[in-house]
Amino acid sequence: MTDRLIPADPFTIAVSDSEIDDLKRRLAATRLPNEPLGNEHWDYGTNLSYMEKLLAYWRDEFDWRAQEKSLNRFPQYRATLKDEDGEEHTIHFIYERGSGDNPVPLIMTHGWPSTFREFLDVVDPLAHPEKYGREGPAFDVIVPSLVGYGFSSIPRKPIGPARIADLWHRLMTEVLGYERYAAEAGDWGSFVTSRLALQHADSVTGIHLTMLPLRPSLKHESQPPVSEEEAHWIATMQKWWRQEEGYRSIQSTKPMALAFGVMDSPAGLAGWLADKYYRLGDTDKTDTMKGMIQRFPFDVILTQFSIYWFTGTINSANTLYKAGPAEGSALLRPGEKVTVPTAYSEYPIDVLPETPRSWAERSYNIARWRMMDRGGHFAAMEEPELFADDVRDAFREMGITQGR
Amino acid sequence: MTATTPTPFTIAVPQGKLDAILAKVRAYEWHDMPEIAPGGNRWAYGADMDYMKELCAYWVEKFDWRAAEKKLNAFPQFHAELDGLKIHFIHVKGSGTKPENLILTHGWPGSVFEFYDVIDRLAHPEKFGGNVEDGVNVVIPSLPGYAFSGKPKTPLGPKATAALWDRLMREVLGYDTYIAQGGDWGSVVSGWLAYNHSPAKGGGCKAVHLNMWGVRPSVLPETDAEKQWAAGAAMVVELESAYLRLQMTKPQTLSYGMMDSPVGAAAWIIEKFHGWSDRRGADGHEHIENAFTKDQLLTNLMIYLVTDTFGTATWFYRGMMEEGGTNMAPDTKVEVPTGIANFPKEFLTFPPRSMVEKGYNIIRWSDFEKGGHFAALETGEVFANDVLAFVSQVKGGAA
Repeated sequence: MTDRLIPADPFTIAVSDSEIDDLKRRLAATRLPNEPLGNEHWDYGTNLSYMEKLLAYWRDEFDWRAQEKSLNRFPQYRATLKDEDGEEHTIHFIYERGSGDNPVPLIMTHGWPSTFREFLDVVDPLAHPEKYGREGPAFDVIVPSLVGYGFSSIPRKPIGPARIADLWHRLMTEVLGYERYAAEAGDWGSFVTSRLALQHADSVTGIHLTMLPLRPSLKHESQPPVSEEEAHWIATMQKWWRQEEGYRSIQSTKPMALAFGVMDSPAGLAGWLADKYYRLGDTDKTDTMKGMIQRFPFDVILTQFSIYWFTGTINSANTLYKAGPAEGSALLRPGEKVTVPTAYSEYPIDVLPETPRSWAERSYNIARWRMMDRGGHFAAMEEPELFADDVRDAFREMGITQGR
Repeated sequence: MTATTPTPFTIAVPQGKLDAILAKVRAYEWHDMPEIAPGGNRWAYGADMDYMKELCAYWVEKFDWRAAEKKLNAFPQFHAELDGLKIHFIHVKGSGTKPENLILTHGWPGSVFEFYDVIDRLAHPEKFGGNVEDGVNVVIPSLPGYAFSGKPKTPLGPKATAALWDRLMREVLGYDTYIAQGGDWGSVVSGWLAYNHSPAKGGGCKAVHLNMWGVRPSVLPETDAEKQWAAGAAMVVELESAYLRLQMTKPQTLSYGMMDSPVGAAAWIIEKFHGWSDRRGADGHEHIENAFTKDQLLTNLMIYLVTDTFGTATWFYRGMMEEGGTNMAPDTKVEVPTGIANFPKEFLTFPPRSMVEKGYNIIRWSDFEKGGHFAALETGEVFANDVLAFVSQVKGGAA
């Protein structure tokens, strides 16, 4: 441990009654769109019948206080860090100390359209494996809200993953006093975590990813020619992405064209985000209504949406898509590669082919490779037990079992 | 295949509808936007918060929908049903003894309101110092899913709409031949009218006047100028086409926020009026109100809101994709006489004439000093005069 230079203040989520009343009032006044015939499979976007059910539940049955209590069940803190431009960022995080005398510090980073809630069900199993009859390692679990998300502060201007990674490193070292730590993430969190491994390789002992965001400079001499399998995979991903990238196009170019609607309308916020849960979650797509509700119970998905709503962060969260590409931090420089041992676990998304390992190895020091048979893009929410076991196994297999 | 006779229509929005919209605008809770350096482009991230505040203040305090409604009702409007789909249109008979027939088609996020200031100029040129014999019969429909037209059950695109328009003109209104005009989606619909519904193909569209590059020949850029244009157009697509990508693939995902939040819909739409117009002022500064008044912006916007058509209007993009895009078959072109009106601040610029000629039989090409994507609304007199001059050329047998 090093000296803790920056204090962290205990934090408890406490949304006011008037904010809850305001949400319910808006939901009651919602004006819904109509829908093209034949949208049972969400082909035109978020399904209307699903939205009607979801919004009625949000308005009439959803109990924010119960969810708030559940979110507050682990210790939370906020710490304020000043960046190189002199801007202060207040970072919210869960901090659950692990069992035993030498747990592995692990920072877990969510993405969009998620929140720190994504990891709520795996905090305890990772911090206290013995309670679940599991072998170690145990982890000190740190789950921050991304900058501009949830209970972290909104930056004056969007900041990207490379800069967030520097804040994370300082959170782990200067606020929490760790010298070396591990990291886990998917989605935008995997950008941050990959940058963390690149920028602070001496401090990061190992990383576990459920998405591989870094792209190699293919022209560099160290890169073998693209294989047939890789070329097929790239082409398939690009074709899929043409159908799916509308949200990204908007958020990365004109987030302020969208912001006014999704900041004003809880239905608008839910409609914008639910599409991604349907598409990327491991939902049963034969009966889409049932599949969606089984995979993401209303209480779970509405807690996610409510965090965006109550914190007023949907716009600042969306603008990460503007900051990320602007920073250019996903493309590796020629010869650059993540050297930190990396475990990759791919959770299936129905229509997508498996990532070729050769592709991953261009950018990462892959130490463990797993293709999971169930659980989607939000694996920690969708399959918490499977996910926690996999993370634990991964770090144990990579020999990372001790904090010091 | 059924078509009904037109029934007169007058816009009369229930007060409760207006009250509900304004209540939400009044209650809007303003929020943060990313910091913009002093002197920087305040629209860099989309809609400018300061302008939206100013516009919304005007909206609740000064904007008079009833006055706008009166203006919209100043011309005869009708509904006709084509295969069960209700089509709203303005129909004004022209002066003179033998007026030509002209169908003008708007686009997104516009409406028939774009043409209100040119209707008299086109139908009754003698009132503006023109020749009475130049007057045209003016037909201005609302696109399917837009404004006071009906909402289709599934997305319709411009090709299908062109087929409806040809029947509207010939079967419903009894105009055997006509000239088509349009910008934005209107240019695509008009392009398909000229391509698929010319007299040679059994339709009635005998000439077309376009102020945007819509239906395109299947050719690649060849000359240096064409290649340069293509590179510039690709850049515009990269920066400006997100709305299109989204509306083409997942209109429904966007619609929840935009249907529920009037200010949300306003930002989505006003951002386009800002980005696509000629905002240059006499003082050298750019401002959206050099192109439009607040009353104009809000009248057009309110047409979407009072009719609950934000969602169905965006379906048109998906409809275009489903019907296979906007390219002509290889080695074919529009054979009917074509006029091109090239306004300088159009965001989807025309390629060089050499390339346009591969797709169209151009008899008139006009380059203008001022005006943008919403030419009829921005610079009505210039727009109307060019259309009338084109009609005269067609009438005079120029080809």
